[in-house]
Amino acid sequence: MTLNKAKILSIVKDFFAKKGLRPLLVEELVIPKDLKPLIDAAFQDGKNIIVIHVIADFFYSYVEARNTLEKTLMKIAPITAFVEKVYIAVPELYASESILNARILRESGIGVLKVYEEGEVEELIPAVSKGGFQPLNMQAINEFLERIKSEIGKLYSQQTSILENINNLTAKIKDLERRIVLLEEKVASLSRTTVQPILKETPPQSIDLESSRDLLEDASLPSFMRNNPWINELRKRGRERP
Amino acid sequence: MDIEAYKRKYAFGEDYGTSYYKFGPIAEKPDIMENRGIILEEKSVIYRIYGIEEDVVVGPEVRHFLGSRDEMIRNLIYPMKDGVVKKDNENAWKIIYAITKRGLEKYRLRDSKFDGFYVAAAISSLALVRERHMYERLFEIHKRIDEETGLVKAVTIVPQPLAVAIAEKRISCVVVESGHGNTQICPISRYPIQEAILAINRGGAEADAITAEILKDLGYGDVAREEKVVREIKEHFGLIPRDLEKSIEVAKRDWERFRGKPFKKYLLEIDLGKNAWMRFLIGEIIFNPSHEIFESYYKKGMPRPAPSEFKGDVIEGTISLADAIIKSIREVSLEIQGLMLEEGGIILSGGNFSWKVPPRTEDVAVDAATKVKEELLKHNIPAKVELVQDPQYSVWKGCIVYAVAVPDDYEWNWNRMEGWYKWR
Repeated sequence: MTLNKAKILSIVKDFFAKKGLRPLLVEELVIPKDLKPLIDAAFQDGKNIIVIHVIADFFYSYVEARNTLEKTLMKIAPITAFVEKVYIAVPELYASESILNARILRESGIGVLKVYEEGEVEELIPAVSKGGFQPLNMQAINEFLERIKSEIGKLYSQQTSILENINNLTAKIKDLERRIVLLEEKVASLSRTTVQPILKETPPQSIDLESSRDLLEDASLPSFMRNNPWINELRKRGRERP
Repeated sequence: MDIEAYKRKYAFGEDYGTSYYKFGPIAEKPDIMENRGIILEEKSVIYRIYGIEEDVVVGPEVRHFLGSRDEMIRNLIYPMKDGVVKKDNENAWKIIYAITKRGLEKYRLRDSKFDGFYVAAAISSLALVRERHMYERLFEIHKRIDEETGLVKAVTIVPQPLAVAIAEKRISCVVVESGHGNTQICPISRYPIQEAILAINRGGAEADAITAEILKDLGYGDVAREEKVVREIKEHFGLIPRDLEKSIEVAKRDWERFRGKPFKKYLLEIDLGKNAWMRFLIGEIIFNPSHEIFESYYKKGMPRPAPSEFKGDVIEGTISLADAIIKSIREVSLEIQGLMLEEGGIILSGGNFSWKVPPRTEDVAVDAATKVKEELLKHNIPAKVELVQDPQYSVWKGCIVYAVAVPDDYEWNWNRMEGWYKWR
C-alpha cells in the first residue's frame, strides 16, 4: 500500500486548496488541548473551520478495520462541538459500506473523504455542522466566565458575612445562657436567703395572737406557712401542759 | 431586733432522711444532698494534689472519689440505716457531722445582725421511742459546729411524722412516713401520740431489693450491685397493683401494654418485654411483703424485713401496711380515732409512696393512697387517705414552721422532748 499518512495529508490539502480553503495550524484552533492531537489538518472556509483526521493504518481484516474506525469516530466526535465540520480521510481500500458504520457517521455528523492512490479525493459522506461551539464567540464566553467569577466573589463575601453573623449570634447566645444560669442561681439564693424583707420587725408580744395572725396571714411567707393552724398551736408550747 | 422576728428570719430546717439530707433556711423548697460520705483512712498523694484536707468527704464531691464498683461498695458509707444512726457507729456520726456542717456553711450570711440559725432538725420517730441517743448526738454536733463556725444559735429536734402533719396543716391525723429504710406510723393529735407510734423495718430498700432480684433474674447481675442505679430502675418500672394476682394475670396476657419504655442510662438499656408483669412485684412489696409470691425470693437470699417491737410485742417485718396502721390506731383513744381517720385522715409521706400510674394501666395499677384506702376497706375501715402534696420536702417544710413558731424562751425539755436546746 502506497497511501501512507503523509501522502493522504498531501492529497487532502491539495483538495481543499483547490477549493480555496485556507490551511490553519492546529495550534491556532481554539479547542481543548486533549483534542488537538486527533487533528491532522485544519482549514478555514470563511468563518467555518474544517478539520481532518487521517486514517492510514494497515488492517488485516475488515472486522479489524471496522472496529478501529468505530473507535476513532468515538474519539473524534467531541471535536464537532468546537468546529464546523469534521472529516475522516480514509484510503479507498477502506471506504466501503462494510467498514464504515453509517449510523455512527450520521449521528456524529462526521464526514468521510475517500482518498485514491491517484491523488483524487471524493467526499463520500458530507460532514454536517452541529452548530456547536463558535470559536469566534470566545469573547462572549470569557465575559460570561467573568460574570460568573464576579457572582461567585459576591456570594463568597456574603457567605463570609453570614458566617461572621452566626459567630456573633452564637457568642451572644452563650453569653445569655451564662447570664441566665447566673440569674437562676441568684434567684434560688434569694428565695432561700432573702425572705426576711417580708418579715416585719414588730415589737415582741408574748405569745400574742396578733403576732400569730401576722404569721398566719403574711402572703409573702412560703405557702406551707400561710394559714397553718400549727403556728398558733406551736406558739403556745412551753406555756401549757400538753 | 426582737428575738421572735430574728427567729423568723433565721429559721433553718434539716431533714435527715436515710438517703437524702434536705436542708436550708426559710424558702419554698430546701436544698438537698445525698446522705452519704467517704472516710479517707489513708490520704493518697492524689488527694493532697487536689487539696483534700478533710478526712471525710460528703456532698457532690463524693462521686470524685468513686472509682470501680468494688471500691464504691467498700468505701461509701450511708450513715443511717432505717432512719437511725447507731450510738457507737463513730464513722456514721462523722459523716452526719460533716453533712450538717456542710449544709449550714452553705448558707452562712454576711448580715451583721446574724448570730446563728435556729435549727429544727427532723429525725425518725424511732429515735423518740427507742433511740434517744440520737437526740444527744445531734445536739452535740450542732453545738460543736456552732463553736467552730458560729452558725447555730439554738437547735431543736422534731419527729419526722410530726413535721409532715405540720406541713400538711393537720392537727389530728395519722402520718405514715415511709422512707428508704423504714416506715413509721404515727398518730398525731397536737402531739405525736408516743404510745401509738409503730415503726416497721422496711421501706424503699425492700422495693430496691426486689428490683435487684428481678434484675438478676433477667441477667443484669452486675447492675443489681449498684444501689443508686437499682433505685432509678425501681422508680422507672415500679407499679402498685390494685390486686396483685389479677394485675399479674392481665400484665402477662397483655404484656406490650405494661412493658413501658426501656430504662436507658449511658451504655445500659433494660427492656422488661414479656416480664413486664414483674413491675407489680416492686410496688406490692411495700404494702404486703408477706405475699406468698415473695417467699421464693426470700429463700433465694433476698433479706426478709427485720421484725420490730411494739408495746412489748414482736411485729413481723412482713406485716401488711394496712395491718400495721390498724395496730397503731387501736392504741389511740376511741374519742379521737374517728377524728383522725375521717377528718384529718391518713397522710402518706416519704419518697416510698411516690408512685405513678402510667396511662393505659389504670385498670390494674393504682397510686399509694388508693392502695392503702382499699386495703383498709377490706378490714371495714373507711378512711380518708391522701398523699402529701410534696412527698420529698414535706418534712423539711414542717421543720421550718416548727422553728419559726416554737417560742425562743421555751428551752429543751427532756420529758416532753421539745423546746430549744441552747449552750450560749
